[in-house]
Amino acid sequence: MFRNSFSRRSFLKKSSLGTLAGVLAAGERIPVAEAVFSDRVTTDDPITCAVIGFGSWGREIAAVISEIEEMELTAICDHFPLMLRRAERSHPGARREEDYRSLLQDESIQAVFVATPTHLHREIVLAALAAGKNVYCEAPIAHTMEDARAIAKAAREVSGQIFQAGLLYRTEPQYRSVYGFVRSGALGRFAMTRSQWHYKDSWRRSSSSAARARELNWRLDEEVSLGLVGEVGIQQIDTTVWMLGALPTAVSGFGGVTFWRDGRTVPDTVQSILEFPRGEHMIFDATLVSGFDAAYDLLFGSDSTIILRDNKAWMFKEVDAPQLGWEVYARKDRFYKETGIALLANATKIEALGQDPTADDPNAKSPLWHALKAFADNHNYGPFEPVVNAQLAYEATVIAIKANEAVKTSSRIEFDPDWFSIDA
Amino acid sequence: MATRFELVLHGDDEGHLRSAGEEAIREIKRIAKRFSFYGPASELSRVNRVAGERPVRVSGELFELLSLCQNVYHDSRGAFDPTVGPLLRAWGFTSGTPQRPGESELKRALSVTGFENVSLDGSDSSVRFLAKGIELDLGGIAKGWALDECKSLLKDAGIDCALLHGGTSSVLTIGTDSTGGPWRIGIEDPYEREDLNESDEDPNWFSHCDLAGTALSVSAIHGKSFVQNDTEYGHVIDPRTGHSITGPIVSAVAGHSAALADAWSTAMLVTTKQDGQFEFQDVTAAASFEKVESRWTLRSGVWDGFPPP
Repeated sequence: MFRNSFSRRSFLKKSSLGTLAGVLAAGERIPVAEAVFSDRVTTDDPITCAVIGFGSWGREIAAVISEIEEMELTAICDHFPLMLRRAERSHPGARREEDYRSLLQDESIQAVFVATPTHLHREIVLAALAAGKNVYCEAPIAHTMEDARAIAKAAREVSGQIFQAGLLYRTEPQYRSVYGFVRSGALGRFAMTRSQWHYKDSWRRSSSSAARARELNWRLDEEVSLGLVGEVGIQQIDTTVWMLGALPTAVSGFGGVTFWRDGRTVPDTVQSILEFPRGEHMIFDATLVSGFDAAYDLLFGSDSTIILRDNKAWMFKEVDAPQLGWEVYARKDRFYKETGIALLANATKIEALGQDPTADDPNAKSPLWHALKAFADNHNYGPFEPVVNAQLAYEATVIAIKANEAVKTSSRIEFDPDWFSIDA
Repeated sequence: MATRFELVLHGDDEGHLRSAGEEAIREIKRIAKRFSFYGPASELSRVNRVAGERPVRVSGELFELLSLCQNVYHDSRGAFDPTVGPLLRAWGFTSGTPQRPGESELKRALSVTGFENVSLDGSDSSVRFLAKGIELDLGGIAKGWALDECKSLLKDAGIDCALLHGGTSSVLTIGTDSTGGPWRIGIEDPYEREDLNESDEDPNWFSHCDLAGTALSVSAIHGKSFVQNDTEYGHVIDPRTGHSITGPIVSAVAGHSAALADAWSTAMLVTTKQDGQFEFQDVTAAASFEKVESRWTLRSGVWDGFPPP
């Protein structure tokens, strides 16, 4: 077990990180009464964590937990023995369980990470919250509105417990930096956004057991799967919702099985158009047929366009856009006939530390790492409202459910504002 | 690993084979990312940055792989050594302008080479370097390790007939070939490769190995070498002495584990008959060959049917 030689937790545990960080950044004095004090009793011991569902994403979560000093992977749960054998090899120190209920009874476990198939979230999340655990739940949080509401309600009603959903980009530093940039008006007037996710893969999982193969292939079961737009697209659609600062008013969808004709009915290629209140549209497409150009997000504005890909960002200015000043000195990269100005999170800070902001950051972390670190910080310094709280997780899930419905029925669905209310 | 991996899977259900193969390829990508020496954000790079200062807790997989490295380092008496990076740098093989280093530079590089400076603590799966400047490069074993992991996944998926290879130098099989016979893998003469004719039935093999559920790894000193003061220096460095190994040398190791075969084939490149016998574990055959006057001769180890009668 490793401890920080100088424990920031000991220093910070009496106050909320959000408040303190704000004070330090502004360099201003604030009245003590305005600081939010946490009543959580914290120690320097790492957060004891359990991962429920040890499929490919559960394995990623477990690996990231092992990297974060403030967290300790205590237990792994999967009802398939093969997965537990894999868990034994990759995390020999973690206890292994087939039934998640026995983990929840264990009072020493403080946080659970739910990475099961989407349609199994409800039962586990509700039980985990009722057992007093802090919960990290993968997005989408559910495959039906009813389940999503049940989870969001339960998460909202517990006090002093953290519920954070896996909408990864809201805690990713580069995306957060671009968010600030966009909200400051650097794009001019928003025109539209476009995101794609292209990956050549059958999306089918194999197992020597037919029963297990059926379970593993829940993404190809239209009864429970939210398809490409819901299971994958939720992340990029949420980015647009966040950047625009508005919920969509309608969604249209199209899709089909164009290549993987192995009896599946869940489309291998989808397109969605989301409409937003100020007239902007988002175009999203995803395919398992072509890997061309992988995944990225484009935010188009009257003054400039930003592309986000691989946790990096570039800005392309219009010729009539006002000078921002700093872009003269920024690094520029060629994209065919365009020149992209690299947008770098914390560039000034990196430079002040005497490092080259354009060099690859050896400490660069994945979006999942940042999401779990935010969860750990909340546990240690909070509780404060998670960046991805129950309401945001619920809204993103509603959009995913309806977008998938639109794809399945090749139709346009108008969002009833009540759908976004957890209490409706 | 900067290598092309290919899988040949045999069975009746193409969809099942495809999805099993996809999972295996995803696993290779995951391993390549995690154990990359060059990727600054890889788990290995984090160890290289931090383990000189304090112990670093690592994943069960990395700990298992490093324990395997430690075993082969010990059994090969230092001929396999994943800490050889500073020596390769001293010789300029990493910068593209190789040259013979001076004695003091060589001495300095040797002082930060040696897996005995890597301490593994099983109680919390942590790694610590006992000397500053030590760094791990798993290039000599990771390819085989990835193949072993793929084999395990494919077998879990019910695949019982397959051949997997990484860069054609590491080969691993599951079961026999589709006719029930062993997979016959040729050991090619890398110095004749340019003359290879695709229609040749037996293209430049100087030996072969039959695999049935087993692995073969072949390493060669070929390509990167330079001449200085009329002496040719090869790109393989003996981690025990810091000297470069020159000449047309090929090593081949067969066994149950592709990772072990990989590591031992790296070790066998620098060993000679003077090194005596080694305690091989899970290795069924190991040898190195040298081309002398257009003929391949046994340089060290033992190889079935070699030299041919």
